[in-house]
Amino acid sequence: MYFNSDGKKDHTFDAIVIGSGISGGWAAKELTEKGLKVLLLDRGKPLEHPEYPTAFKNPWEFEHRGRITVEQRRTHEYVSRDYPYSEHNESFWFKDADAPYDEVKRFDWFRPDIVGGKSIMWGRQSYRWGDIDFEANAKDGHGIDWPIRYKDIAPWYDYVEKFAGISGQKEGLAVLPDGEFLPPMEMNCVEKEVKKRIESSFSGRKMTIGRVANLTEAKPGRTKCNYRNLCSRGCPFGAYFSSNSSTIPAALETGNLTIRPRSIVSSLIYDDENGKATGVQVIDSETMETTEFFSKIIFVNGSTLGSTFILLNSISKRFPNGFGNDSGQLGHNLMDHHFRTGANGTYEGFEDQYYFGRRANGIYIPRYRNLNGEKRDYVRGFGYQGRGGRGNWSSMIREKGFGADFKDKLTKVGKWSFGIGAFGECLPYYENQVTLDHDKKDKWGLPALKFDAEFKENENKMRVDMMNDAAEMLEAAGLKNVRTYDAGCYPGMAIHEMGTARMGKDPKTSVLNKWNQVHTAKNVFVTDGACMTSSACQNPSLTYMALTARAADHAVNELKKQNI
Amino acid sequence: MIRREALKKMTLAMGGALSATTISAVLTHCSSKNSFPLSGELKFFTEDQFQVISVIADRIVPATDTAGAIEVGCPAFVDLMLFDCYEKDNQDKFINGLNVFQSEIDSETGSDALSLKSDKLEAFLTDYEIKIDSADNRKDEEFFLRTLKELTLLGYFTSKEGATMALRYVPVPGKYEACKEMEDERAWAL
Ligand SMILES: Cc1cc2nc3c(=O)[nH]c(=O)nc-3n(C[C@H](O)[C@H](O)[C@H](O)COP(=O)(O)OP(=O)(O)OC[C@H]3O[C@@H](n4cnc5c(N)ncnc54)[C@H](O)[C@@H]3O)c2cc1C
Ligand code: SF4
Repeated sequence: MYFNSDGKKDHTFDAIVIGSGISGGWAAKELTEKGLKVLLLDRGKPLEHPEYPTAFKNPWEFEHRGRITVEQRRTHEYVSRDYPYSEHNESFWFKDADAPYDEVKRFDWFRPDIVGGKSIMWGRQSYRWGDIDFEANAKDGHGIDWPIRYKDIAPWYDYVEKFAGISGQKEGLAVLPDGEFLPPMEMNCVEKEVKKRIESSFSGRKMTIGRVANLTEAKPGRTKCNYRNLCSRGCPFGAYFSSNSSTIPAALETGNLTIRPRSIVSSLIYDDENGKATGVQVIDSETMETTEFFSKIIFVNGSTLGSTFILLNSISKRFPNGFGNDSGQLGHNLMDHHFRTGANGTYEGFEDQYYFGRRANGIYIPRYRNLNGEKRDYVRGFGYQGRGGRGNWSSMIREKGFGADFKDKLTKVGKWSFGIGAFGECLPYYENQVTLDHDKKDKWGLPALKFDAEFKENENKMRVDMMNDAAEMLEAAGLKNVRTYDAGCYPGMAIHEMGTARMGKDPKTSVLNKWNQVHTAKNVFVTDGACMTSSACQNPSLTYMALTARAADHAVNELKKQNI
Repeated sequence: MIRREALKKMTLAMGGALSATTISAVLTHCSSKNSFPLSGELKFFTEDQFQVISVIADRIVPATDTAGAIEVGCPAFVDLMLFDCYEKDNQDKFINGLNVFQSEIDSETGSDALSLKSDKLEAFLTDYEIKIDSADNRKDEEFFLRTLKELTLLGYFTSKEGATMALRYVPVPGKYEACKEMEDERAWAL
């Protein structure tokens, strides 16, 4: 149900959700299912399931065969720095030239430009965090303590996993709690062999199939995965979790949802008299027209930095330094995982074995460092993602040769290889921050974000282990030609940015309480990555989903009790 | 070389719309001086450069029992890609490398790339690639040849013929079988 009215009374809802990505989609689903009339605002273009423009295109139907042009690199300065931006889903990405930002230090910010946000392009790796993660800050003194523990979120992990559909293997590990899994995908021969050898060579290390939001069993309105591995173009089968295929249809089903695309929320409206947020200011991204919408509660789900922008830009008498920013922590403690280091090697054997289908998933090696009393020269830890497979022409593209033999060689199945890359935890540093630059305005007259964040000594020391451990495991697994790499990493690259409006027990040192409510304006909830108090090393989106469902439940209970 | 086979496939690939000149160009391909048909307007190369690019692309992926680089239109793809996807400095580097290549093939074989017999050209390219790779003052030539090879291979293996005939292409596999006895040595296209 798209918004198409202008009457004043039509501008008032029970709840407004800002952003329709992974977290906002969940907020909309939960709130509408609990009977609230919800307005879901997104700055992006409409993208309706199952109408994904490139999903069924063949490789030869892309003019540049997936590559991007010089012109696109110019208009998409930041997203074009890495692989996610390609000709295959070009139109899903925000045109950076419309809103350039400042980089005191390099930060790669991947902004979507569609309803559904990054839920369409995400890698779907879905891991729970454990107590070790929620207790980490309290134990080693970095950052502030989380106001919740695993037991608070565990039932909500159950809840969101059942709906989203996460396939995976139970392993019984405390560092990576098991979930409500659909049947796991299978490892190929080399992966199985590597798993066996790693687990027998290193006590305490496990290799498991990736836990991934791709369906191995059908769900209502969504078929099981067809193993195309073209997910980042959108899946007409609805076989992976996205807002467009999953939460938004569920919310629409209730009859309580209104979606308004191309709606840029510039700020929250605060009523000094009753001490509440009353609505939002919106700029139409095409017509530049501004409008206001009103509601009892507001969920801010514009993604970590999108939400932080809105809060920083919401200035009132009560909040001169940004919405709910009495603590001065808003915009600070920006974290992202550091990665792009690991090792790979070739495997000799299984020459007559191959696989069928393109599994949109790899393997995972959960964190094993700094556990059970071990103390490295850094704190926290890392996990690995990887995969095994056989080469084809693209892995041999730099081979020397010409002529019929060369052609023949490139058409044939290549050698088996296997590689892993680590994702490491990043500590919350107060000085890693975003602020507003009022001297630099975007196409809509809004101030630019200014990034000033970097990885520091703890991350750099951890990277040594991340690379060397990878090589050691691959050697032990019997791989040949093992090569390590460290391609360097800047914040933003992992697209797991978080922490800029953190949760905490104390309003003096945090922006949000344990229910994701702004301490000083309890009808405003922030449930995307901005709320994270530490970063762990697991991909974070499943945790955003669980926190969102939990907060929505609390919000409706509080509304009923008339506490907000 | 099975020209007629290739021609037939090419006709299929291009939807049967082959002009008489195109056909004669392909048929005369093995005779004294090679010449390659232009399917549309060039964006980046001069016509002469396009001919040289074509004859090299034909040696990177020759027509065998499956179509080659020429039949699937790789030279025009290389032209488009260099124009659309490469910055000015890399475009210049490419052309500079191409020029050096041309003068070297002339001086070393006494003949230009288009006049050389295909086996001679193939032998020259094979040696040339190794030679420029081991030298450290031949960056432009190396860039030229590497880029041309990469784009030709990309264009070829993602073309309809390349993906579905030279390789195996299954748009919607429907299932995943992790370990299977291999029945066909051809790799999956994706
Ligand atoms: C290539 C890639 C791979 C990834 N892989 C994984 C993975 O394997 N596992 C994992 O856990 N995570 C992964 N991520 C990260 C994941 O996508 C994000 O963590 C997740 O999408 C965040 O959800 P969100 O709701 O906070 O933000 P988003 O999904 O980005 O949604 C935010 C929405 O808010 C809208 N918005 C922003 N500002 C405004 C405004 N002012 N007004 C109105 N609307 C606004 C945006 O248009 C957008 O639609 C990946 C991301 C990418 C790009
Ligand atoms: S791999 Fe599965 S989820 Fe991804 S696009 Fe294909 S069918 Fe959809």
